[in-house]
Amino acid sequence: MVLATTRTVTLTIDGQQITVPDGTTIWAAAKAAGIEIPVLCHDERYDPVGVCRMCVVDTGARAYAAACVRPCEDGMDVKTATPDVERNRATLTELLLADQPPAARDPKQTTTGDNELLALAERYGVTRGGGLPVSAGRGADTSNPVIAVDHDACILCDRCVRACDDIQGNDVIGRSGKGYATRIAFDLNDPMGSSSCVTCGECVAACPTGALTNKPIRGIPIRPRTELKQVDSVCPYCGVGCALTYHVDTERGAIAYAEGRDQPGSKSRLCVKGRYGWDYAASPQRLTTPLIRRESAYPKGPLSADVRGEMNRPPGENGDGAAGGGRKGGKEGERRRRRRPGGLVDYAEVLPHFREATWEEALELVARRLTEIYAGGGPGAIAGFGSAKCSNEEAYLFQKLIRTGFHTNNVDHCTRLCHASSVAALFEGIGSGAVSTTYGDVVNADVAIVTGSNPTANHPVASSFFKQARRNGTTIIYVDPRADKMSDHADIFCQLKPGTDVAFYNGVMHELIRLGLTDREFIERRTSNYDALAATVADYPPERAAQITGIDADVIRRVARAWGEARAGIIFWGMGISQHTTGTDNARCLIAMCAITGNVGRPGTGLHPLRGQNNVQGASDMGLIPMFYPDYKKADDPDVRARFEGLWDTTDLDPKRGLTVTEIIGSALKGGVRAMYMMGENPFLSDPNINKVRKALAALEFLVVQDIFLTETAEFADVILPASSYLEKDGTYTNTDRRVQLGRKVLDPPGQARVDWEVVQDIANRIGLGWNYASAREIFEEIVSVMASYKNLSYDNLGPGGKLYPNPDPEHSDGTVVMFGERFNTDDGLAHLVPAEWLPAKELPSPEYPLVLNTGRLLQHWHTGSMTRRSFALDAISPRAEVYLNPDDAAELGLADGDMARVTSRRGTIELAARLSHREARGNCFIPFHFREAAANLLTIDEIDPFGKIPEFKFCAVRVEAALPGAPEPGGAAPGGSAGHAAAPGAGDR
Amino acid sequence: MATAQERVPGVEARAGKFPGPSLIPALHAIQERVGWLPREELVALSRDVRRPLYEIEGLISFYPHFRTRPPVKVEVHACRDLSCWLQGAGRRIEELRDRYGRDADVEVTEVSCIGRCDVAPAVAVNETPAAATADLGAVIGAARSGTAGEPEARSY
Repeated sequence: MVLATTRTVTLTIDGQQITVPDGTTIWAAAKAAGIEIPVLCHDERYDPVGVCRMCVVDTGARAYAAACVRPCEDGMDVKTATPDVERNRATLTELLLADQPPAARDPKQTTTGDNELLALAERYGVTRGGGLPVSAGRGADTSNPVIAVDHDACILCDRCVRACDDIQGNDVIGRSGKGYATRIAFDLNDPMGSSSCVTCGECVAACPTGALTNKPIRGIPIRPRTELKQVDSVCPYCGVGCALTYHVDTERGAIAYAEGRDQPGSKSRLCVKGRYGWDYAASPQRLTTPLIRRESAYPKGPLSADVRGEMNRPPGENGDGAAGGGRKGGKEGERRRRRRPGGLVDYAEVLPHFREATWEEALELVARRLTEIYAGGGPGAIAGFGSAKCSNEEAYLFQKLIRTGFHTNNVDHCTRLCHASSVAALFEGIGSGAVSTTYGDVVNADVAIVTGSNPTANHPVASSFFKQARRNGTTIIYVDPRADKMSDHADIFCQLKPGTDVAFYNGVMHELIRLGLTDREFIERRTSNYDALAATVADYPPERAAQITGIDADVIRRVARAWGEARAGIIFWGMGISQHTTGTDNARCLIAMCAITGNVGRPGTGLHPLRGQNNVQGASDMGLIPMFYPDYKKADDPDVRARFEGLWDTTDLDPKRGLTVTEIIGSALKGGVRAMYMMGENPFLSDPNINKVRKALAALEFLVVQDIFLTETAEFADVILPASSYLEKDGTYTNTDRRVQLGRKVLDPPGQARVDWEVVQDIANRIGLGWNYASAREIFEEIVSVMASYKNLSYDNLGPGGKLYPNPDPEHSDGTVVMFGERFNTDDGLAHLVPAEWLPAKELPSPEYPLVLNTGRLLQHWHTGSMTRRSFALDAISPRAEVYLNPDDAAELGLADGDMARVTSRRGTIELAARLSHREARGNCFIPFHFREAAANLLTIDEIDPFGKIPEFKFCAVRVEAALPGAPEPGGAAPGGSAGHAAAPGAGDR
Repeated sequence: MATAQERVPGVEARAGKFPGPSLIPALHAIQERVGWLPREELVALSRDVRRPLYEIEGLISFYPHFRTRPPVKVEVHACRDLSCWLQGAGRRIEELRDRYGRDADVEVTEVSCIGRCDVAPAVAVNETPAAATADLGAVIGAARSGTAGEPEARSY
């Protein structure tokens, strides 16, 4: 324990003289001296509570003291294990054991085998059933799909309570009842599965007994650690990049369970996706053989009714049991078929249009067709979409293939759809697209603004640090049109009208300047163009900002005062800032907010765009974007081009910037881009205006899709290559903090599926590039040699926790946390302030389309759902598409919770269940975009930000009405009736 | 607010973690208004005061005064404490349970001292103490039919 004071105390523990900082507990002092004092309720990760009394020690006072809570005192003489103290512990163990389930039935002893109470029982030779009274039983709760609660095994140590509150900040677990009948309870003593529990599993990790345990997933038994193989890796989901350990059953070739692993950022924490969402890789629907489109399936078009946009097939017809190239469907396929009309791509409908092929034949065809189309159409005819889900090594090779093989910069990935505008603004403003500090640095901030972000769902572990910081005194200002859970943890919550961010921040800056709360010296020395900014924000007094944003002028003043008076202020933002036609302007405002108050370059200050995908930072670093070579070297700079021509031993690199994701779709429609290589992207669901994407994909002369599942996009493919999942390969991934971490191979790829970078290399060699990489490690070495920012990093020095870049000394240092302490990365070293005028969104509500639609993600799901909807836990918790409506709006529309609603925009119609949610403001609604049977992106508008080229996913006008059963509607996808939908047993986002 | 570093070890972790006034008056107010504590009211309270539901659960499961089900027509509170027990409370409670155990309108609850040791074994029907000699059947019947009169004058 680190203490602010430097005063020390000296005491004796078991005869050893020990000096420790004042305030150190006896337990911690003993531990530091190598003396283990047994304890059940304490864990160093939590504040001590001293309730179990197992750690009592003799201090010579009248009564024994609980070592975990008693601070050391000068001259204390502590005896930790006198015969009487030990007798005390033995008796306590016996009393606790009396009510426990027998070891042979104990939920922990029979799984991971590490029940701490039973270990003490063994140590003290205590057995159960010594004539002590036994209670009638406090019951069990199996309502959560992946966590079992056995109240009989609970010793009320409060570890789970602290894990839930103090670590994850979810505030779900407490105690119910009193005396002997006391139990831990979820919310109002609700079943865990229907409580507000988000199934992060932190309580399971905390529990010393069998009270809270993991249930097996996909029938893989949970066994003691010693019988399983431990593979240290990183979570494959979001940009937080939590470190974890997979416990692998090698006999069964499957993961049994996952646990958080200590790492400077995530500190052993995980969310539901990381801890329970890894079984997608074991889905029977994995692609296992290369597939070639049959002659009969030309001319090309979508193959399934869903993707064609037809509706109302009878429920049950839409089986997704695998056939052909997939593994056999098995029980899971049966279960899904019965339960969910809609859902994932219908394998039975799509696969007959493809035939199995050898890798040789498939790769030969890919190389031949790409070469032919390139020969006929030139560089502009080819484009590639890589993926932010792939490793740095794969992203690097992929862009190198497109650039050196086809001499085009038409290579992009889904960063375009998330933070492209933030990156544009950051480059312009401070010369770097990466975060200026880590999410964990929030602990050093006086004030943190969280804006346009729903971190409890999208960056759950990062949000746990925000919530924890608030409990330790950081003021949280949450600015978001939705009252997401973060608002429950905010000191000031500004529920502004969607699309008014620029007006809000201009109003705040107006007030900062008026009150003189800016940092004159910083502005003078470290920024340029301040006068223009000041002139612009002068037009946004709080009253005007209030009119535009709907936020009270006094609240805007309060925000300005809090921010201006903070010694250290930090801003976290997400897609609510970036996914607007004014996304770049929004981010410019945030940069200016930090710059004019001197809140960059010191601990607890800075700019942190929370990255979405696990490797969106890395893929962008690797140059998987059309305007930059690796390390953000400008693609249209002749010197840069010459350098890469040298490095890559090639000529004729494309002198122009390439097309972005949205521009490539547009170009395909006009016959510009004629062939595409997609590695792990599914633009059909992820891109705006699906009806347009459908036409574009169908118009391609040749499409090769490399993926782990049959995606909607793959229905348009000429060749489908079975890829490896994250769990089946080695590679590095760079998280939102700039932390480069090693993801290690956990499982073997199924069937003939292959590691992605090897496939890229094979295609490269077939078009004559002559590559010869032997391993991911070798590719990483090339990356480091090409990219100054990754300098010094290697597979050998990344270590168990990964390393932050830039890192001058990775052998000894975790890397640079706070950047820009002295100068920014711009040419003149100054932060360039760019004023922005507020502009309304492109498509405003009208009488015909009166509601504003916002889209985004749920805690349980990931993007197009191809992984998470194949995860047992995530699918069980969140199985269906819903439109979130304010209860008053819903009442006006005649919709009750669970009713089917029809949502229509100028571009399409979908039907899905209505969910009444106090978190939506009136006039707004929210649809997660994971569900293809009700694809939100049929509705969204493909208007883009002029700088970042990012689509406006967060704002379009829609009409919501009650759906009449059986009335077909063109242009949407089939809900197929609600009869088959299981009710959500425990939807987390309440 | 103290940082984690400054916090004195040994201070119970939960203490003071939810700053703000006691929730008990708010719970009383709901029960007074509605007669019991419906879930929707508790959820709304939790949201309004931004305190976790489990904190409310801790309170309402600790104090028997708080009702988590709608009240029945007739609530019979029978004292089980020492004075009353010495005066035959055990038998009286057993009789009440035998007679009303399956009666949907009547709920018999054992309670701690209601301060009427003078009429031990004390029983209160809808919070009105019954005289020691009263015919409980009649008092309960009157309460059930809604014809119970004013409580008799107390003889302190």
